[in-house]
Amino acid sequence: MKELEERARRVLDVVRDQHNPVPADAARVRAALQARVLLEPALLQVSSRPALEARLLRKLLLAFGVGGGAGFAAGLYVAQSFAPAPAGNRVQAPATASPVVVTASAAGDTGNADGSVNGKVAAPLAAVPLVSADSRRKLLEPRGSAAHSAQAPQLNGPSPLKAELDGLRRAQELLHQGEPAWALARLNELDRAQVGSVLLEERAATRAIAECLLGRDPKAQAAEFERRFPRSAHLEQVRSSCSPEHQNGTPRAPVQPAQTEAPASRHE
Amino acid sequence: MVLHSSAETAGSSEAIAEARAELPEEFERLYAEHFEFIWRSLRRLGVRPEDLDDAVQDVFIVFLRRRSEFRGQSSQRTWLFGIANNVAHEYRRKQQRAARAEPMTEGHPAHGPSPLDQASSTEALRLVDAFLASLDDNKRNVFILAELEQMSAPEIATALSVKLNTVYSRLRVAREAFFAFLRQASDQP
Repeated sequence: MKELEERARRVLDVVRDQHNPVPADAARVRAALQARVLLEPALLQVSSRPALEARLLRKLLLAFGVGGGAGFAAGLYVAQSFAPAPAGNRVQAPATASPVVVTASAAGDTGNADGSVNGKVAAPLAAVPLVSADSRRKLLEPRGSAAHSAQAPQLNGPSPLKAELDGLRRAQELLHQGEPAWALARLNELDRAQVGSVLLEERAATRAIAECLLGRDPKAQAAEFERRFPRSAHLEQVRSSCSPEHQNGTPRAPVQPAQTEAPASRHE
Repeated sequence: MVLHSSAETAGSSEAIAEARAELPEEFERLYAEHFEFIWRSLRRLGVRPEDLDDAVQDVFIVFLRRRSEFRGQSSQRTWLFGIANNVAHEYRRKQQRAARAEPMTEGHPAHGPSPLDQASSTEALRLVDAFLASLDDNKRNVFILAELEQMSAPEIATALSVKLNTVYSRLRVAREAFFAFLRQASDQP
């Protein structure tokens, strides 16, 4: 028995440090945590117990109302607080290893010879989608039009379109700077805020490109975007960013933007 | 909207800085201090390597949500272990539902050359992983905290919200099971 105990001790001594992470694990998870905090800024507020319960109840009711049974289950998750977050909320850590290719135009635009901004490699310029003609038309419609009034009930602020535009612009800036994971976090935030859907196509294109830059099944991302928006002006950009050439680090010539004008200022 | 001229991109680094400045200093300290502990605890509690990133995130997110409830009756470390234990439980359930999990209830020692004879750390790790997987939740928790994290029995009692005698009892049974497991592993050809 004594010999067995010694063996056991030896095995445990050997194993004690074997499950430790490497430094890269800590950095990756920390980045993902930051992105999740972005999605749920309320996490940073220290709540009193009643306030916490009220928030959980609100989420529970919302989940039940919006998502039926599945939503109720998700609401239960929130109420329990201990269960893992739903997959949709989960943020992958920024994939430091995912290749983000620099095009000549991107390098020129960002000002650095190597295309980097603050040491980060910029995403290809072609990867940043434009606002489609359809969306521009919607944006330029008078505020009293159907497109605007349809959104009104969802929004508390005076300028929902600006909120959507700002969110999309921020996501594209992050994408442009080679931060696709952060761009996705911004897009998720937009989705959750339900700020409107005038720029749905642009948001989908930005999301598809970000996913592709993270190397998440680029072929399927492009196909899904094409299925949803077969006539999209962004289709070529999505295809280009999701092409195997891009994934292998040899991008095709960037697609030149057809429109380079930000409609926000005109609209606002 | 689109392509941002240099003037337009001026706000980009601000956006990233804003995104990165979201975590409070208190949290940074806690993360630096306990990340490794949470990582290896989750691994030992049966969370698959491919799920570890998400599971660790979940632990710290729960901490953020519930930090106002922390009364200092236990150490942050033991409190975090309690959260990790619940998170791991959910992941194991999910794995079992998906029917593509590593067999958590498999009670067989690792196959192949005996880890004891070869003194191979990798094999020892496999052996301990297999043993932990063979234990029920209660004994596994006590065994991990006592034998691998080397916590004291009172600390464990606090972490798991059980009586001190329960800790001793579970630890004794888990140790006996470990010895039996090792004996079985040594007897294998």
